[in-house]
Amino acid sequence: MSYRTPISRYAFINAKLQARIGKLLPQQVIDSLIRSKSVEQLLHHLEHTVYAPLDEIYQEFGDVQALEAFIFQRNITIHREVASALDPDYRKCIIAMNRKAEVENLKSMIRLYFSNTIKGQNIDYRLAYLYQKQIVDEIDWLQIANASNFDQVKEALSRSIYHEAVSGFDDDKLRENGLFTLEITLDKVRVKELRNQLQRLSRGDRKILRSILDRDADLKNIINIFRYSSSYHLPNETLETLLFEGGTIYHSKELRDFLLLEEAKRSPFVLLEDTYPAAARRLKEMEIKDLPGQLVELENYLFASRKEEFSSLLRRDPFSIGIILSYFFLEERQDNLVKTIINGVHYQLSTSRIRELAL
Amino acid sequence: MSVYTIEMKNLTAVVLEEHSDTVKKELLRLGVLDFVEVSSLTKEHQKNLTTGQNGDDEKLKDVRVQIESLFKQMESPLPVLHKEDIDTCEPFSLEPITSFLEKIYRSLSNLREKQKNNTQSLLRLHELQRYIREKKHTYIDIHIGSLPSNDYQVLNKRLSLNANVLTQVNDDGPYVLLTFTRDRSTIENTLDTLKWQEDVDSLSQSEAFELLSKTLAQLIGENEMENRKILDEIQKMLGGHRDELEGLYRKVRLHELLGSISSHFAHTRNTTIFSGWVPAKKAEVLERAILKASDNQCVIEYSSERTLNRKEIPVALTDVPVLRPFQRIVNNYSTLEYGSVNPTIFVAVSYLAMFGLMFADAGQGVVIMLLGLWGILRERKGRKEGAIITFSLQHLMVYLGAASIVAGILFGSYFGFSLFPPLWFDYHGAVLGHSGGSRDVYTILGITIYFGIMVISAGLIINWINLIKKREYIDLVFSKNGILGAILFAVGIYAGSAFVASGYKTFPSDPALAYLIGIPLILLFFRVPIEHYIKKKEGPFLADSIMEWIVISLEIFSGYLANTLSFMRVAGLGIAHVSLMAAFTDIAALTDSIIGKVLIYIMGNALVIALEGLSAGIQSLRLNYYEFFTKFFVGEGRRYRPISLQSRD
Repeated sequence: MSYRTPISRYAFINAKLQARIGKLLPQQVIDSLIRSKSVEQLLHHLEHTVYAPLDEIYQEFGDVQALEAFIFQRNITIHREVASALDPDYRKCIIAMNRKAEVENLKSMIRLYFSNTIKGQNIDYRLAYLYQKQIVDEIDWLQIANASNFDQVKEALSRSIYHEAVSGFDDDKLRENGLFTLEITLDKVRVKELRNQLQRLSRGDRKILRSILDRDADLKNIINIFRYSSSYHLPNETLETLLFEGGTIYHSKELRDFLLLEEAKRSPFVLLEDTYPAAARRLKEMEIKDLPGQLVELENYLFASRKEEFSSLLRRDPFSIGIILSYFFLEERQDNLVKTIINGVHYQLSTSRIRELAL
Repeated sequence: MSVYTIEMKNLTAVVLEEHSDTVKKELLRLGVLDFVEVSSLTKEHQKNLTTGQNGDDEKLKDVRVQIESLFKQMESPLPVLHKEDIDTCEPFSLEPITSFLEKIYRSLSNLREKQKNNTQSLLRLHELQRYIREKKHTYIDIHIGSLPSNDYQVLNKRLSLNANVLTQVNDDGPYVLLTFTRDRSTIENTLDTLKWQEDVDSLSQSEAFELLSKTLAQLIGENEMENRKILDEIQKMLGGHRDELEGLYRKVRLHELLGSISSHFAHTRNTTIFSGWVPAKKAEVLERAILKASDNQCVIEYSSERTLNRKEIPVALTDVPVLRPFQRIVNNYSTLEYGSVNPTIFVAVSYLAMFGLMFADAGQGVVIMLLGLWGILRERKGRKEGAIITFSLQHLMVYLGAASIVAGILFGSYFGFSLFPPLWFDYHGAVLGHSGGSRDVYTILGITIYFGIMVISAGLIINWINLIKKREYIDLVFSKNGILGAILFAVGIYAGSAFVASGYKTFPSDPALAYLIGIPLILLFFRVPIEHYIKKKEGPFLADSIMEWIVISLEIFSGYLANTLSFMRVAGLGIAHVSLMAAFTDIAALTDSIIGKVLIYIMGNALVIALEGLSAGIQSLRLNYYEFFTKFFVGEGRRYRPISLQSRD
């Protein structure tokens, strides 16, 4: 690991990202986007922003899926730009973060395979809108979408870090259980790789990134535990394989106690009382009785606290990885917002419904 | 051209409520009033006021943006608002406009849907074409054969949900069908149902691929043509509504602007009150217009700019078309404080002089100038907006080219060659040591240092003028850029010059120097006590005095030295320019081929123009911003933004 001071490492990237954060869409523009009556009007509002190329793309294709493809590609480019401004150890870590896009793309490709081969559906033109170039690892995207059995998918992933993880899956398993186990497995590989790469960072940066990953692990674990135990009635053994390592929940006594309970007695309070007391308190205060309602509220709470954590990173040490993490978070959030609004306007949802979905 | 920012007057008017609409229209027609909130009234009066804001503003804006985006689809500029439009501006209902726009957007949406379907067909064809081109034959299936029933229409219909290409070899030959392997089961079912008979021997694989490639290219061409047709249809549909849209845009935009004026109006039961800033020269015209619009039933008062905080007064600068690129440089830095000296003309002179000294080559100057002129011509012919090189930069390039030409003639440099004798001295010879005269690199360094001293001195003088105008006499005398600071700077220049004149051996020993340094330094110590005395501040000030004295003394000694030496970069870049050209001359000498020599010279000049030109432009900007502007520029102004027919959001 080469030694560099935080100031020499972050001086340039900090200035660059702060400038970009300053150029994020202000609330006034978001409101105008939501109020748009047509995709054309919406894109007109984005004229002098980073999304300006969307207008030309829409003029050329007339398809909102092409716009989503551009936004996806933009996210990959953003990661690459940040990585290129850092020293090799940090670059590897940022590249590992770009695996989030890689896994999303991989999931989409596997969904095409699943629809076509397992379900016998026509995937038509959909492959054309998915990203087909290399993101991090060498993956034969076309082979996945055109595979006639899962072994061909595995072969397409043979030069990637996902190969080992998918080797336990086959067509029968996918036909029986669907894709969610495979998708969570891919996410776990991605997070594990990022945790490996964070060892290369300085102690302060390691701490920040680990705390973010722990928070994310808790968020996903809480959501997965309830979703798959109450909706899918998965047995404990399967449930445990879906959990992400790290965070407060994964090794907690509360989780063991929770899993020992009968399904009907499993309540968020058991799991959260000691691990996330503020969330448990909030749920109690809101007096929501039904589990689905509690889960929605819990998700909202966890996402809000995640957002708050990223915002606080921006206020803290400017010469740390915090600025990069916050920037990625803000850009991703904005991309999702724009995509949601574009779809909402395209499908002519009401302004209030778009606002509800977007914010 | 005014040396200072344009003098402004604060106008407050009270008109009868019944005249408020007419007055509003007059204000928009003149478009010179930069409105402010009516806050000078007493709280008691403010209780009786209602503001002119209403909920229609947002709706009007939304409708306007809808119309604007339609003009964008038509790739047409927005209609220009004329003063006559104000006369015909009547109240209107938004409902018919929104339903008219909805109708247009519905038609547009239908055409987009058609375009989307066409795009998706095109994507299917491109994927098939890609697999053939990249020889990914495992992803495609080819069937060669025929239907005994000859019912190819039915076959086409049944295959339409899957990507396919079906073509006949000859008029009476077999058919070739191309599909994705991933669709095999569906396709084979269809073929079996229709009793397709395979006849693989009738055509070789390469012949089949050749035929399919041709057919695919043709289908893709047809599809692209269809896409163009849809785009034409969109243009035709929108073009058919152009006149109505233009009329609507004018109507909506005018009401939006009038609404914006209204939002700055405050009302009592019978009167309307408004206030704003107007350039002093236009105040009389505005006053007459308000009087006329209100049948002379109004009260107009002016507040003296001197009684108001300068930061609240909007800043306008005299627009001199030939100086616009330099005005842009000033505006990009910040908005000047009201009443300050407008430095645009100084920037023009110093920027061009710096660039000329760094990039002294008449030939390359001609190229830069021609590039600028070419850009301007392209822009005038309607090039799209959003290009990296802006219109302003193209104008600047013309000036920079001219500066290089002048400097090149002075120093006798034409594309790196001394084609004509220099009017001043041989810059290349001085740098490369074969000028034969008394000039060398030190001469060039000296010139740039003296040039820097002139720029800094100009900045100091501008600062003093500004401070005198603001009556800030303590800063005028005691600040770093004040008179005492300048005396120390002058002593430094004298001492430095004498040191150089002695061959870098001794500083002057004149005893007057000790006084000239000591007295200003001692006087600087009294800044804080004097400030305390004049501003009647209370509390201890000794610690403050010492701290401030130490800081300001350090700033003066290190700051002025650094500022002055910073101008050596002008010489540095000029020397680098000559060295690069000399390097290319040496490289060219290594080849005997005339063509080779010419190519090396062309490439060398192109590289120097691109790299050195950019570098010299940036360094000139930097020197202006950091060494010149920091001496006087107080960027705390607010830009003058009247509501007019030309207003943008």
